[in-house]
Amino acid sequence: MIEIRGVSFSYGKTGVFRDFSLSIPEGQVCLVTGINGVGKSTLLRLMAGVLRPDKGKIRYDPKLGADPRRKIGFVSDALSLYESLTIAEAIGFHKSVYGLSSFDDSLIQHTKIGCRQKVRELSIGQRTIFHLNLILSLEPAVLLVDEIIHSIDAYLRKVFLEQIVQLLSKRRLTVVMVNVNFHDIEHLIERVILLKSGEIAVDENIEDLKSKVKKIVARNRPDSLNVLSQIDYSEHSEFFVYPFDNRLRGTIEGDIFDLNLTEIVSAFIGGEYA
Amino acid sequence: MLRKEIRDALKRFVESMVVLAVIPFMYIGDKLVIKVGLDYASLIDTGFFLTLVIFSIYAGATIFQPERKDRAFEYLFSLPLTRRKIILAKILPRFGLLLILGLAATIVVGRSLLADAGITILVLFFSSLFLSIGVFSTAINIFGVILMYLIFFQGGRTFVYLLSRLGGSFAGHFGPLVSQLVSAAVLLVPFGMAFWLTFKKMDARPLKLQMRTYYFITLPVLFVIVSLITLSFRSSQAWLLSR
Repeated sequence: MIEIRGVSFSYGKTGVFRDFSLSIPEGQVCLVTGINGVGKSTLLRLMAGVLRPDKGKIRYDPKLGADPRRKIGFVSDALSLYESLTIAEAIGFHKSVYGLSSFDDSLIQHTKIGCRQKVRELSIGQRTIFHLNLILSLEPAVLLVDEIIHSIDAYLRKVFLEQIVQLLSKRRLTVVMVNVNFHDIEHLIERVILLKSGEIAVDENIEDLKSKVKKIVARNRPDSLNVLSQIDYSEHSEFFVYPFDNRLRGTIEGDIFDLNLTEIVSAFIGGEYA
Repeated sequence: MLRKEIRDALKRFVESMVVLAVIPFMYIGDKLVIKVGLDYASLIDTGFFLTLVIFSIYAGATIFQPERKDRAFEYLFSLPLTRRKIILAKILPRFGLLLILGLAATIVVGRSLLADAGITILVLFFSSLFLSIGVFSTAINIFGVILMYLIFFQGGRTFVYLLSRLGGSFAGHFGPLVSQLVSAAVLLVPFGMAFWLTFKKMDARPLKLQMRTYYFITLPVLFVIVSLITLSFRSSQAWLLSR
């Protein structure tokens, strides 16, 4: 469980969060999304403990121990590591800091990463896989993954996601992901949080969200519904609406379509930019 | 963590030892070409002293260099390590190597360089260490250390003068040592406090956004010390010349 209570945070004079609260129960898989610069990565960094709130508290499940970072696996978009170390040295360093007796390198075995290679010599994709392998070796109770997994190729992404699924089936792993490629993780996600101007604009269970966001293809704008964004064509327009009420189904002109998670998130984000 | 820092400190140590490696070449060069008549023993003496000075500054100034160069502050702060553990793991190997170098110099040179210049070496090490968090380039850090040393040096002279006015045992044999210690403490304690308070609260935000406490403590302290030295400069100089 991660409990964020009344957190305010700023980068100098640029405020990101003001009196922000959020609770993520143990074992939940969340997707945090929103437009660029809205504070998604900052939120993840706050949860990982690498940023400290100016005000407010972040509490973790007491089961995580005195220093929850021991059980938090965090992969940031910056992929911060000691670049001058070799892979073997970086693994040794990681093991000594976390007090690990062994290191499961099954993820990097799928790559062409060599032990004597320096971290700085790795490509972004290799670095991401290496970083993911480091944090998975901790057997984390909380996994925080920024949008960086876009940089790994389809095969390695599949391998990584299989590992996540394995972990999820073994124990109650809490996962918070930011803007990851939705189509291959849609089946994992239970909750979607959309940030807007440093606040939570949408916080829904994925099934509820899918029932509430619809695409209506019609000539005229459905005035009775809240339109997030629209795409105009010569003959008709596509209206993305939220929240959609099933009771209105008969009264609406045009065809109503269900959306997948990628389309839902695009509709919200498209609305922000409109 | 400690193992990695020992490796890093050793790297700086080896880099600083270049000065010692140059000595035999200087001696041979003098014998063959320049013929100034350089004395090998005094060259070794100077070499060790310079190595101590260079290593003390370099070791302190580069304490966060791996994190800066590799942009690894975020990784460092994500590790389950307290700030105290991090800072001890960084300082102890460097300080240990400084002592080893000092002892090696004592054995080779035949007199204790640390006894002669111990306070100066410590001031240089801790000045560069405490400046390293608030100064974003090693070159500016070294320039800052030189300024700090000048303040420490002149501060020592000012305190000798002030202690002499107090009279008693302070003005006697231990006067210069006590005044050096007071000067070092007056300069380093506030800088050390500023360093620790800043590092304790530090996170992965850009460093420039986290220096308020550091500058809030150090700048007024510098202003007061420099003002005191300036105000008493004439009278302390006149007193020193009269002795």
